[in-house]
Amino acid sequence: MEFERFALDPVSRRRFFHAAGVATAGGSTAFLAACGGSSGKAKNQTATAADIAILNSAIDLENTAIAAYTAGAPLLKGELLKLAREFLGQEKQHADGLSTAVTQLGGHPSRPKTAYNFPRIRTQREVLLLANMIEHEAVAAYLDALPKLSSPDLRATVASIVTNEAEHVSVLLGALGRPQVPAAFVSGRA
Amino acid sequence: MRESDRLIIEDGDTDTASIAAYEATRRDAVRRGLAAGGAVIGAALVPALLSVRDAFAAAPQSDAGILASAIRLENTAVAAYAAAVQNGGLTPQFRRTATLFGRQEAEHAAALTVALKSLGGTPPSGTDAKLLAPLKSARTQNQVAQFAIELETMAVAAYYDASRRLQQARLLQTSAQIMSNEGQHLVVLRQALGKDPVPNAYENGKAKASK
Repeated sequence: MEFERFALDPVSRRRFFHAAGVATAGGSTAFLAACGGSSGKAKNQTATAADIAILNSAIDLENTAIAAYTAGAPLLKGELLKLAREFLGQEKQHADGLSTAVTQLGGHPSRPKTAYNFPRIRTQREVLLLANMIEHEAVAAYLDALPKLSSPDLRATVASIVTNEAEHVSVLLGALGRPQVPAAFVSGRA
Repeated sequence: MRESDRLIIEDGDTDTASIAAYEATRRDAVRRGLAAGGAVIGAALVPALLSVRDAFAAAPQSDAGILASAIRLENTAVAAYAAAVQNGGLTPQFRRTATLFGRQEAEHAAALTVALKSLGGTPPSGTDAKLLAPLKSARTQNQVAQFAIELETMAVAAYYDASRRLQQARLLQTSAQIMSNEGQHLVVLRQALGKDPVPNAYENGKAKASK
């Protein structure tokens, strides 16, 4: 029950993601970096720097999800455990793909934190709630980032990742006994 | 929250080797198990599928052109779900699901229509009859679900292409929100057929829909 209170409290959630190094949707320094007004080469450099910052925020989110599924797996059984392992593998693919993109842009990919300070989770339901919270945050962050990326290829990649995260949400909602497709326009807002 | 109520996960304790082995085994099993499942209607859809996966690519290189193509595809999806719910072989639960999905496709079409009009464009009417044709031969719920999977996969592929080409930020976000919704439709449809609900880490509609 204590975890459910945490999951429903926006201040607690914000603190949690901030501690994980995640620049969430809605105006971090990294996301605002793309707004600088300049021209020519300087503008390209600004755009590349902004792309790197956005991608590193995304890597932080992916690493948070990886840690959450890793932490939660021992509490899961049967089909849910299989799915969690699959989702974990997919989050790792995202983190690897985004890290490659950062490197190709000349940046340094964000690394996993040495520790993630999750609320104590004791039951399968709490694992699902934690995963659902992180996946929602990921969807919102990717939707926020999408139009700020300068490269069409990166935008397409992010679109395919956010769709995958939305699919995870759908499975998790179903496992929690909630409607799996609650809205025609996925927003990442629970 | 007290410190003792928190669980600290140290970095590096994910067993990647076991995950990779599990993945290989599971994917192989899924591939073998599904080879027969959706084959009949899937084969009938292949030509249409290939043409529509390029639907947005054939659209004029403007936001308005992409929106017009998307509206036509959404209208086709609305018609598909409307026809599907008439199929006598559906369970009440699946019929409710198809009704919901049809309503959400209509919401997409309505929002895209507003966006296109704001750009000064004229929304297209009508549907793609060629795309809808295979649905007439669907007799069972599984065949209807397989058809819907093919259609939703096309939609995901089309929005994926659009995300590369749309210029307006707001349209990019709307496109991704719709693409994500189509992905969630895929989850429910795959589960209805006993398939892996999320087989692709990068859901771009380019993988085989019958995977």
